[in-house]
Amino acid sequence: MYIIIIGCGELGIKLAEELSWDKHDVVVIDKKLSALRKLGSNFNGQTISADALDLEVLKTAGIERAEVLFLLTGNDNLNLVIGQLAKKMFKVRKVIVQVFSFSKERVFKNKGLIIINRNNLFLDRFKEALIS
Amino acid sequence: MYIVIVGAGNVGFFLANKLLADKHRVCFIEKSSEVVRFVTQNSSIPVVLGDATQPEILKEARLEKADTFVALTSEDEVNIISCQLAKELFKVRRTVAKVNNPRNLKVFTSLGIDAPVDSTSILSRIVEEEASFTDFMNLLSIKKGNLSIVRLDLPENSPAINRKIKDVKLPPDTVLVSILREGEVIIPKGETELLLGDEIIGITSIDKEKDLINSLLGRL
Repeated sequence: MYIIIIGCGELGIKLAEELSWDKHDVVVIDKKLSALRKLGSNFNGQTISADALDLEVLKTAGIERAEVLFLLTGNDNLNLVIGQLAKKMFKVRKVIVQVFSFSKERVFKNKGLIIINRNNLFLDRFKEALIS
Repeated sequence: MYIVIVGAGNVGFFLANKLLADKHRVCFIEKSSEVVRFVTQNSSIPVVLGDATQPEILKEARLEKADTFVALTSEDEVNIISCQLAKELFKVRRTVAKVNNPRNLKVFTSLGIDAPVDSTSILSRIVEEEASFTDFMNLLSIKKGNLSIVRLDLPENSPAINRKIKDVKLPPDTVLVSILREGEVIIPKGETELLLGDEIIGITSIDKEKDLINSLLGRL
């Protein structure tokens, strides 16, 4: 599959390396070149160092033929804006958006995005850990 | 009207004072405590300190009562998300947002912002016009109507001088609205003769702008 990952933090790196290991075509975008350099030698996809909220950058990354887009920057607003336009303007089949804010998750959950709230995941795990 | 403005920097502060002078009510949302201090020391405009992409901050600014929401921060994603929250959660009728990256104008319209303002493009267009030696000025472009209002001074070498308007070959979709001559306003008719130094205001479809200049200034 052709997959774009925006946000090259620890999670982005791990995901990019594993998906590329599984023979997917992966493109990683991050504002910081230093973040992209942390991708290990087992990553054999493309990297783009640029501000992803820019139609030209997204087109260069091949968003028009992307099947999956992961939005993993630490900025909820950025993730939600790019996620919405990936759905609306580029018809990306699966848009997976990481957020931290509960209220934003609620507002944007019915826009065709797969929203994953990291705080919510932690919350569940913490509760599980408490009762186990 | 009650207008909530996000970002109390230069543009925001100037805008708010203008709106107040026009008897509107205004409230700021500003994330920098330093800027908030400036506003409270230099005006009586209410300010909410905080992030305008958080619903509880918007609530504090009483957004449910707002007629218009204006987002002027330097981050496009903040302007878009705050406008969307204003619409979705508080049913604000009109949202206006500053576009920081001109290439993102389409993003703003497609995500439901009523009036994206691309200040970079507007400013560079004005500078471009001022920097050239033409006697032509675009006063206003109404993109939605594909219409633009232009002003031009008839120069010496104009092919239209000493001719009646009905004899000047104007492009289609173009109307001359008024002529300013020696301090007087003349409403042009077919029989009106154009003279050297006339200041002409016309309305034209955007794509006929160049043809209009051509027929009145005789160049481009």
